[in-house]
Amino acid sequence: MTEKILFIVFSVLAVAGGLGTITRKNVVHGLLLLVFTFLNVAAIFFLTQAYFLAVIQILVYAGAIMVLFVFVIMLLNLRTFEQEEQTHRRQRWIAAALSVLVLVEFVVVLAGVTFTSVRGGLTPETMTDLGGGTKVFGDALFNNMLLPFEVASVVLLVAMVGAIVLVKREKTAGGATRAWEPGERPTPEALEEEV
Amino acid sequence: MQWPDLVPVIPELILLVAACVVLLVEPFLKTEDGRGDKTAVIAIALTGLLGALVVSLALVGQDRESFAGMLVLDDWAVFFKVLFAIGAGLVILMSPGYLEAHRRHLGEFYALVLLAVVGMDLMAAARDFILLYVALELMAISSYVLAAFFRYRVRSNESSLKYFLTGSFASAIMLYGISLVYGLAGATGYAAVGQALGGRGGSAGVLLAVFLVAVGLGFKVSAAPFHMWTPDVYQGAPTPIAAFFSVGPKTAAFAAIMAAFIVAFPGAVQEWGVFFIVLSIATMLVGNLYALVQTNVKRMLAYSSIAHAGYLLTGVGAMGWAGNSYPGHGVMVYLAAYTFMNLGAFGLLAYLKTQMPHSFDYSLKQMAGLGRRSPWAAVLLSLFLLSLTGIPGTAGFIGKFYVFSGVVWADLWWLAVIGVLLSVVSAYYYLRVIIYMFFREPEEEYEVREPISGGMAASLAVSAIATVVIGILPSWLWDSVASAFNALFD
Repeated sequence: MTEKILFIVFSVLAVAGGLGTITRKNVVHGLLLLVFTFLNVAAIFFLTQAYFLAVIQILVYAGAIMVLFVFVIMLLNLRTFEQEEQTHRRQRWIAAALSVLVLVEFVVVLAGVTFTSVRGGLTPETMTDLGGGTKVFGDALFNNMLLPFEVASVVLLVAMVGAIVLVKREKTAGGATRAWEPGERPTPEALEEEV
Repeated sequence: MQWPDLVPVIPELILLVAACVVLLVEPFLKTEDGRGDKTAVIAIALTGLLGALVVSLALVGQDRESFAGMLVLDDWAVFFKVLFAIGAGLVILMSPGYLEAHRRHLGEFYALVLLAVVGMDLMAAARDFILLYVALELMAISSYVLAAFFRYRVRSNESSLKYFLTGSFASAIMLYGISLVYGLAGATGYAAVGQALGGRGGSAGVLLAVFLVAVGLGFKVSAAPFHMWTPDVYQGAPTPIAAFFSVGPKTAAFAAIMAAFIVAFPGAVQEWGVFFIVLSIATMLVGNLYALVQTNVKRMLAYSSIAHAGYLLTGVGAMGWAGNSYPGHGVMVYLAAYTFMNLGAFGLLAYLKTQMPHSFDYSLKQMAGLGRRSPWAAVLLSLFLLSLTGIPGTAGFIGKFYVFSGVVWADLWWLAVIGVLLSVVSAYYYLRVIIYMFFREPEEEYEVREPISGGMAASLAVSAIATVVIGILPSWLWDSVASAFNALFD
């Protein structure tokens, strides 16, 4: 019973935080509400005894990703969202209607589905029998899921190489070929040229 | 702990090592003027691809699985590994001059191409949705970076941003579909999902999951209505990379669709068959009709690649409609043929751009008189365009013939008729380029400085020879396709 009450409390807070995130005009307020949402979601993970997931949620989302957001906001010096000019006013209502329609469709379809993973899969009790969520997770990650895990590390390598290729400031002496000589201002036509 | 069988991933490991060596060696290559000499890097990349190619060929006839059944090594996987290695090799051969002409020749280019190939190889060899997704992301993220390689150019930025935003969105949709599949089946392996869902037929939840996965992969093959990104991305990406996009990720996504859908969703074959048939009709229409009005040849080839995705999808749709893998044979033959002819066509454009880095804007007008200025280029481009049209004696004809005969075999003759009619329409925009090259006088003189030489010549020669050989002697290709299908579907 306590679990149910706590679950409802945390989910209501999480949803409220999410709504707050997308409605605040002040970016920093939105950000703090997002952290609040993440923490509530982490609490829900704790309640379902997914301790590992809860810790990861706090470390990665509330920690690392939020720091990234703060950096972006600091670098761009954003305070409030500019009121964007609404160019497609009429489409807005069509979009809203379509969104509701899709949502209803998804709810109707998914409400009629019994998920095998819920019915016969891993419940908190079976997880405890197997030695706890973290152990089960680690076993799966380093046995059955070893290859995707390793490929994900290659994906990270690509992301790093890509970030360097896209933003590295090129030096004058040595190093890579430049697109333009330093100090040379490309003409607007050259920038617009076909590649 | 049991040591996993690494033999099935040897080609990918070779490519991975080659990519890392490229990244490590590149900073040490310096010449007096501060611009590195990239020959060594290119040699390492090509050696890696050659190694992967040779090892893959040596592994023909194997039938083993590894990493808890997540990945297989059979003729199916080998077929695509060979195709990807050759395609990437041709792209790398045609790139150096082009990158030099744009004054942005970095070793990372080659490393990213190799890593994208690792992703594509794994997509074809995967027998599990999780591996499929991670491999697809590996391929996609490399592609986003490659599209933005000329980061100072407005077009390149536009290209990459559009590709990244739409691509991430499509990945998210596919991932949602995969999560529903897992929820419904309690498994992520294709075969296990097929067993769990097999009896349940096409219930609404299964259909939703199949639909979402199909949409995500449909985006990668640029099927209408998920094709919007294609022309802008191809136009703004470096031309050899546009060539790579048009054959690599597309082929990998087709391999994944064919390997996954028949095995994992046997209860809903009719439904996804119909879905792909509808997509194929829309795709053929959109690709061909928009290509008619293009005056930019690179953009025209982008729309033409959409049209070709449409022809390929008819075969995939027929697979589902008939509930049989037979129509897929034609799709695989077409994919091989299409790789060579499309790489050749884009490669020729890359050559022209290399010769005229600032003045050439890919417009039809500038193709005028090419037959006189640079007869070899004009003849080769004509060959590739004729093959894309599907003229008998070229690879394109063989591909279309096998795809459409598979479609007819599935009792979808009307779909084949639509496909053939629209390929007749496509003759207009392909032949128009040829007419401009040989029968129009140029409005101003463009000087082609050098004849086709070096890597570009090798790349175009291989593409041209393969186009003609597949066109005249297709039986060996058909045999290897048949053994690939036997490996997958018994």
